[in-house]
Amino acid sequence: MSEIKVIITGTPGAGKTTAIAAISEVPPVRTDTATTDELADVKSETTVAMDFGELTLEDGQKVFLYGTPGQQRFEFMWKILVQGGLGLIVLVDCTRADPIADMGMYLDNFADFVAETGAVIGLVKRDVNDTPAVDDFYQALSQRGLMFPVLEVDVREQGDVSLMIEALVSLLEFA
Amino acid sequence: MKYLSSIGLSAKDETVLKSLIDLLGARTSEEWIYRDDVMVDALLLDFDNSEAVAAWNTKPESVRRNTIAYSSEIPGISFARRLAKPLRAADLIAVLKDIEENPGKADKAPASSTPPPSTQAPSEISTLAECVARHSEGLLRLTFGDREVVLDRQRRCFSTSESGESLAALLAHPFQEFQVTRGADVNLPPDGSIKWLDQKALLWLVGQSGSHGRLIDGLEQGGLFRITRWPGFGLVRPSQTVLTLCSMLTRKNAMSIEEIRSVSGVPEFDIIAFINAASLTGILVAQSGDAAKPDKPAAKPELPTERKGLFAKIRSRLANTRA
Ligand SMILES: Nc1nc2c(ncn2[C@@H]2O[C@H](COP(=O)(O)OP(=O)(O)OP(=O)(O)O)[C@@H](O)[C@H]2O)c(=O)[nH]1
Ligand SMILES: [Mg+2]
Repeated sequence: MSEIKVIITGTPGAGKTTAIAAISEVPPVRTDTATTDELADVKSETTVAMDFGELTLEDGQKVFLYGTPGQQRFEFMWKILVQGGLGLIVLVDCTRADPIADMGMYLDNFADFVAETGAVIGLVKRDVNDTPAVDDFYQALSQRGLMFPVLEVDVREQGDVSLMIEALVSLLEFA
Repeated sequence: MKYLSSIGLSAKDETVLKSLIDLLGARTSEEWIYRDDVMVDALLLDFDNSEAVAAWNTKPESVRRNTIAYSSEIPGISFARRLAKPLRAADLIAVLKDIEENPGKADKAPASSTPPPSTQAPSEISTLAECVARHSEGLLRLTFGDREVVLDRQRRCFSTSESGESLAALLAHPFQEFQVTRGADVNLPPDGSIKWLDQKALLWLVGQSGSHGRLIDGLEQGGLFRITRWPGFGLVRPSQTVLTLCSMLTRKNAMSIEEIRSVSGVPEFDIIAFINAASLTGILVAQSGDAAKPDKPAAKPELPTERKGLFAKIRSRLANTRA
């Protein structure tokens, strides 16, 4: 039985580790380490390998959730990670300077994978900053010829993480 | 056994209609037969043929009941049932099924043979979705016992005594059970004592809960539909059905209700609720069913059963995580 996996990506601090922790049956295997570089001002810990979580289906088959390390210097890992993946979830931190550019960067990095599968865009920390408007994200997607769900979520909530995966599955089956 | 006849069709259309009827077989619940010598259950009227429309107008109500307006333009909105030219099996099946399920759905006689839709007397408001769709300006208050919703169209916001699921349940009551107040008759408590929310969340729920299987006036049963983006779900977590419809309707090519139903297996009742909700929230693109349909895109290849099974298992696993 081949491995079923969903890839979660996004900028450092977007909430990849938090999202996996919210829904995984096993505590996420954290590979976080103390931040040393410029990120240290923002966050005390960051993920250096990847986050890992799992869900068990009724027949025992597992769905694995992989969070990519956020920092761009781990980019070399992304291509290996996505092989055979079901699809991509991009978490976009709306407290950052240019969330639309962040989304674009991940869609570029994972362009081949996304074209073969599909992606769900999760806008996070909307309680702190609710701009840009959701429509602006759709417009940026459509300029790339893409139509993916853009959902405002709180990744600390299990139901919201579940919604992103359900939307991804619907997209893969029906879009 | 049900009978269908027609008035004013071209010889070619009549031949096509008869052969389609012969081919319907098990795709309708009842067996349909083309006859023009008996009392019929449905009548197809060529709405572009003014002589035929004039002749039809002189017929007794018993004959005109369950008339289907067949036209290359958007036929008069006074017709509850419409078919766009050219005749297509899927559209015909949808409308015949509708007649099987709701015989005698109200029609009104058209004022003239080619009435511009806007001058038509609007039909009775029968659903909450229709009521809200027509109320495009000012205040609207819907009261149900001690529960209520106030919509402010100018400020694009609403307030309610309810929250989330209970608001959805409230909006599902038959329209006739609400007390409706409009405009200056709506007395609001002083500002500041009310919590206002973005109207989109309400509009979405009104479509989802308050449609009762009827499209909002102006949307054609035989039309083609798509959405420009996924809706913001707001107060209520979307069901699996809604997620399926979001995915299908964001495809590049617009789809008819019948196509959506046959590909997704979602009942027409839910598809109509979704289309109304999308229309109310401004994300719907509707085309007339006879609009030059781009060559049908190669049908999306069927997913392997194994993959469909995997998706079903993931859904069922995640259903448990919904609070
Ligand atoms: N205010 C607010 N905070 C949030 C929200 N979602 C997540 N957070 C917080 O944002 C932080 C996310 O951190 P992580 O989950 O470690 O982010 P990450 O994507 O794994 O980061 P790296 O591993 O460094 O790439 C946590 O402190 C969350 O509690 C939200 O919707 N609102
Ligand atoms: Mg992390």
